[in-house]
Amino acid sequence: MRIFLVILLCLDVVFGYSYNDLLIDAQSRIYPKLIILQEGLTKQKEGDSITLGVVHMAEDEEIAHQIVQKIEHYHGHQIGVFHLDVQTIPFTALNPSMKIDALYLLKADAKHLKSAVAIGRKKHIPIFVYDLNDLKYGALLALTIERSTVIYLNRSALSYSPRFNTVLYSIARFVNVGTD
Amino acid sequence: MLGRTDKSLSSTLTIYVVMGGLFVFLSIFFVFGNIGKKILFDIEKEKAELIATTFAPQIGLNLYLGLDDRLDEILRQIMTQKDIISVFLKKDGRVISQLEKDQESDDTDIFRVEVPVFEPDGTKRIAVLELYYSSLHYQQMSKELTHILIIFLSILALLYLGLVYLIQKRLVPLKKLAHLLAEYDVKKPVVFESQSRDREIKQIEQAIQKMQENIQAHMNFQKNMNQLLSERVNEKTAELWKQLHTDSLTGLPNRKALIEDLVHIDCALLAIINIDGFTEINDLYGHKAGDQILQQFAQKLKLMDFDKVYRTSGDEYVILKKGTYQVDSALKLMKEIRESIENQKFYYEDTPIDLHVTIGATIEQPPTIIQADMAYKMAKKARKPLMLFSEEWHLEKNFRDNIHWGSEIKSALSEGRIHTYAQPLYDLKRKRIKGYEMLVRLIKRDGTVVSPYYFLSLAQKTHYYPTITRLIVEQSCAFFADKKDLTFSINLSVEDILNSETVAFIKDRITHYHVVDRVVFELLESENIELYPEAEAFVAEMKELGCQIAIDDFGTGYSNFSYLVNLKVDYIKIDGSLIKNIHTDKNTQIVVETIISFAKKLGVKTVAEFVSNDVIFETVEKLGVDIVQGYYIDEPKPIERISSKQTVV
Repeated sequence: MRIFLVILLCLDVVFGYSYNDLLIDAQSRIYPKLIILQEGLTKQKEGDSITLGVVHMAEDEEIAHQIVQKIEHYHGHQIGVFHLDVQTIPFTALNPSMKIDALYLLKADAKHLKSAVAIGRKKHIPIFVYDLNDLKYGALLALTIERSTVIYLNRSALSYSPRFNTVLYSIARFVNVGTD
Repeated sequence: MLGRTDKSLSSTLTIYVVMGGLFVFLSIFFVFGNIGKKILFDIEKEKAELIATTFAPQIGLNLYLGLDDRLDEILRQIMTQKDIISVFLKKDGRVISQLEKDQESDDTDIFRVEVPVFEPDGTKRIAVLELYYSSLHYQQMSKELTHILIIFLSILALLYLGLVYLIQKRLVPLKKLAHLLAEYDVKKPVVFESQSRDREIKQIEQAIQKMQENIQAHMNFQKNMNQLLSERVNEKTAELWKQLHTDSLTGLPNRKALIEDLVHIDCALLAIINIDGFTEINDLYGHKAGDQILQQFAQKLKLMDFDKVYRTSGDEYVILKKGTYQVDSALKLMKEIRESIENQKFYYEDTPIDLHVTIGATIEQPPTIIQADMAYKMAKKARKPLMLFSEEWHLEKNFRDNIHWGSEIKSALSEGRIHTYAQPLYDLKRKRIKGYEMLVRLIKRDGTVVSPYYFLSLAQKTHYYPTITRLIVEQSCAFFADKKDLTFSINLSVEDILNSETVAFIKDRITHYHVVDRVVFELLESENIELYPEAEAFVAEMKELGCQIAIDDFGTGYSNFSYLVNLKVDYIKIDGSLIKNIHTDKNTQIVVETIISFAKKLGVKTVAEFVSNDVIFETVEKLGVDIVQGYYIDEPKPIERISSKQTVV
């Protein structure tokens, strides 16, 4: 039994994290839409493209590409009035100089997640996470499927994130996790 | 005066206030009720809309995000609101989500609210949220509002009734005042006891009190004035009565007083005393003297023993002495009165004037002025100083006759029954009819010919006389206009000659018919025409024209021959009373002979009237009369029966 568990852990390291397709599907549909709920975005970026970076560990590159495909499937390259550009970005490649408008962080270790969150905060862009638990590293939004689809919003990250349509705040479920 | 529709002021005010109040209450009830209900309705609807608009963005965002599974949750949240009955979410006309409560409600009690659902950026309408909201709360609120209004209006109505009561109470003094004034009598002044606190009522009471005082003062003034006026009227009436019954010159009672006094007198001697020739006193000494004499005369009569003395006209006095008198005693008394007056001297200044009186009296029971007047006239006519009225005078018959003949003359003139007759005048020297005397006759309706003896003297006193004269003149002139060899005589009286219109008519007619040289105007000797200057002028004028003048009935009067010379008359018609007995009475013959002799010496022709037989005819012929007239020659005939050939007897 212990051996089976070790194997499973090893597989997990070798083959990356396991992802829920249903959740990925939901997040692929919703996260791009949440980007354009930012206040003032319309005026700033009308006619421009919005770049969403799906940040992943090397071993999750496949799932990252699947997510990009899903997003493109659901939204094409258009979200609202904006051109949508979805890119896969390894955690290691993510740097502040990249032109990026929102981050979609897949599962990673704390170090990478923190680093990505820091870059996102610096760029004052929305940071979505796949895993609700990763909000504790300072990400802003997460989406889970419980009895119904629930959007979690990290109150401690609000000060670093852009402001959203107030309705979002009324439908989101607030959590207060992570520290500055 | 109160009419049937008159109402008291308080009733009217009460009706107005109640009606006004009712109107206000109903207005408040309906207006406030409806406005309140509308407000409540709007509030409820706004609540529903607020709910819908509150949840619409969430729905929009969920729809936008594709979180359809969360829509039901939101709808459930909506349904937790108390009055939401059902909620529908429609997209593209299709219901994508709905929730309903299990309760029955009437459709009419439901508000329907529809709110569009937009995408979060508000640019795109993506769905419609439809809410059905129960009106139960609204209805409850409406009922509560109605209850509040009813309570409010009830309180207001009570206050209003209190106001009406107060108005009625405050109007009580006015009603009392009106009642007092309705029974107001100037003799019973109104006493105000109300002591009203209202200034206006007090002012009215004060004003009425002042008016009462003024009315009373005016009444007193009026009463005094009326009394004064009444006294003045009485004084004036007495004065007027005195003036009416008193002669202003002598201060004696006048004719009116006499008439009134006689009503109460049955037995008395009533005598009219007339001063003879008083006009001569006026003419000789003037009217002032005449007035003095009249006053003295009145004083003398007053001093005599009469019950009453009256002055009835200019120089006529009436004395009244009560008692029963016999003819002898009455005549004796009248004689004494006359002698007493005529023995006294009357003076104008220092000139003594003797007065003579004529007295006519009556002792009939009751005595009348008419009787005394008749007696006086009879005395005058008979030239007697006094005469007592007698029933035997048949004066009433004369009056009736006068009335009868007056009427007869009038109708005869209007019906053409006054005819001209003619009697021939026979010229003894030429043995032929010289001409005719025109005579008037009245023909009665039955054809009876009436002599002028019966009506002409009466006619002279009426206005018909000139008409009769003109009728005779006209007919005579017209008839003899073409009978150139005949003369004709027309009788004229002094009245005719004094009437200028009649004279002018005569001149016009004789000139018109060219008969001036054949007409003879006969004037009566007895009328003393020589006393009238107008008659003298008339004679002169007629002579000037070529007419001839005859003096009729000569020998009956004083036969003043001098005026025959003065008037240059052409004929003397010897009075018939001298002719008709001339063949038997020697004295008469002498008189006639003298007249004829005198006439011949003056160159005046003589005419003998009343020649009724051959003896008289021969006598007068022997005496030298120039012309004869009478039945022996021919009787008077209607003028139209005269023939110009009938000139010889």
